[in-house]
Amino acid sequence: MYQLFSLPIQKIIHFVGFKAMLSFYLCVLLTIIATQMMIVNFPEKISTHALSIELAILLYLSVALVMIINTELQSFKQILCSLNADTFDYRELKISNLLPASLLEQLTSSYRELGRVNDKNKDKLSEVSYSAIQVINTAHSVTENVQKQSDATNATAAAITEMSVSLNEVNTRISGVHSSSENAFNTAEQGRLSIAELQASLEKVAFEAGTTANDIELLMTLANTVAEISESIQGIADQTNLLALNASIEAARAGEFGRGFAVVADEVRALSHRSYTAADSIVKNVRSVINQGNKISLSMSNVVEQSTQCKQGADVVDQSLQQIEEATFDVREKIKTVAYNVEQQTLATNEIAEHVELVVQGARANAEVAKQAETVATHLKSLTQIAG
Amino acid sequence: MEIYIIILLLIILFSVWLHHYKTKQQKTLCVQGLDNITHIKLLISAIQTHRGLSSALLNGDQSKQVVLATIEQQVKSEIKYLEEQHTLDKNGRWGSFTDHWGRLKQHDKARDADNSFKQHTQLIANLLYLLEDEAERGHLNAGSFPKLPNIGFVWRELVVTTEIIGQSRAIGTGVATSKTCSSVHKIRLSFLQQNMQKTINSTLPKLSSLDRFTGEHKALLKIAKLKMQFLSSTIERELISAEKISINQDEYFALATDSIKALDSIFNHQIEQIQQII
Repeated sequence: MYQLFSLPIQKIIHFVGFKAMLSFYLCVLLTIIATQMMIVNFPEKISTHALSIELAILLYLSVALVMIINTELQSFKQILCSLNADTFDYRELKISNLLPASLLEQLTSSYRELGRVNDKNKDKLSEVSYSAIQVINTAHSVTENVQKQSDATNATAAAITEMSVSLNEVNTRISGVHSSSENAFNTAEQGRLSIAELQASLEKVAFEAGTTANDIELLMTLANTVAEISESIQGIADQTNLLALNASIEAARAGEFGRGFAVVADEVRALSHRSYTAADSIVKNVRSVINQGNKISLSMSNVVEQSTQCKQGADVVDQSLQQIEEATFDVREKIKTVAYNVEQQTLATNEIAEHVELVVQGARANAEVAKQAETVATHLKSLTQIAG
Repeated sequence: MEIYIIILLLIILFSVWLHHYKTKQQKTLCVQGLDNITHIKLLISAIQTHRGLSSALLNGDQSKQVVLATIEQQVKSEIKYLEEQHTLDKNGRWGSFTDHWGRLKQHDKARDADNSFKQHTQLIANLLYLLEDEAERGHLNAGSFPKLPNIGFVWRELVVTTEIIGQSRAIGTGVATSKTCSSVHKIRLSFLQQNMQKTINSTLPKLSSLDRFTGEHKALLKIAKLKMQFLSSTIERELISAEKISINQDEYFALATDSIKALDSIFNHQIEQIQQII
């Protein structure tokens, strides 16, 4: 039935087009009307079979066209039913060209535009989905980094606490050093006072030794004078002895008369001898005294020299002590500055510790935010997947 | 009875003439459509080049001004040719394109790089749709060319792939000029690179050819695939993952242009095949 009616007409439509076929159909219709009119008006000029043939052609065409149109509509309905809303590609429309071309073109054009909107949305969703994945990865990296940052900040906080303890220790030590330097300063000051006293004593010793040396020199002069006098006495004793000898000689010449005088002369001689011996003894002793005096004088010179050297030594010690005093003063002042700085550093480290704590809190908050961002991006991705 | 025979003969003659007329009309439509498509494709290529060079210029490479003027001249002559045909007048996209291009050309140098990129991309998207519309209007589809069942891929997927590479060329040229790749650029480049890979794996193998063109067709596909893969790996290595961007913008531009040219060769080869059929 289908092959008998539809197929030939389909071939003709393919060949000449649907409009031409319809025109042909109308022509047949008009011919039938014309034939009918001819039969009525001029029955002798036309065969009675003509109308029957025409009606048969019209019937054939009508049945064929109805069948074709029905098939086309069924096919069209089938196409519309089988539309894939996801892919929405107009190129998949397999519509035969039996229906008017303009109608089909309009349909495919609309379908194409819808497909484009669909494709555009799919492209956008695909890009959003891809971007969401990148955001998830980034948020994940941020979370990891924030965790690392948090760990590092915790370690920093611990280090700062340790540093704070160390600074307290340093502060204590600095206080000890400060009191030690103060003691050193006081001791140096005390030492300088003692050295000053020592210098005064040494000056006194030097002065006394000088005075003693002068006295000894005077004593030596006097001893020399005594020695000279004793030597004069020795000369007088020698002259006396010579005179006594002359008197003895003269007494001998006088004989008996001179006997008494001889005794006197002998006595004088003995006396001069004793005077000479005494004077000699004095000279010897005075010389011993002079020798001792010289030794003492030498010793006193040594004492003066030693005391002068001691004084010079004391001066050097005094200078050193002064330098020590200045140095310890300087150290004390610097330690004061250091102590102040350490105190400031302690305050600063405490403040840093507080800020680090804030940073840790911030890092935790950031980690939370990054997690939230990751969750939102995951949600976004899932939405695009649902939509896609 | 004779009259019926005469009528039947007349009908047959009229049908033959009608069929011949329709076939001729169809052929004219195809030729016209193909000619329009060829020029629209040239226009797309010129605007893609204009986009890449504008990106370099707006990122600080002043040497591109002269070349841009040449490209603008090329666009102007293509527009003039297509306007003279009067076949695109009924399509609203054409009017939209000429209006948009006029505004873009006037103010492009005053824009920032991102805005210029967006405007050009919108313009190209419009032309891509116009190209497909023109293919449909000229009945350049699988229905008319049963020997090329996937001809529709040429008018959409193939030119869209060219556009993907064109976008990566424009973004990459800007990045190579400024030597900085922002996270947004990284995501965009990465996304385009992913699309490029999809095209290599799914679109290119779907393109069909006439039997006698198969060898040449396969060779062109192989070249395009290799060039796209090299471009894709260069984008990854030199722009996305590189700590310091060292690739020269001209070198990158030439590399991307090479890939576009490889796809254009496939496009022209397909056109040649259709011309053979017509």
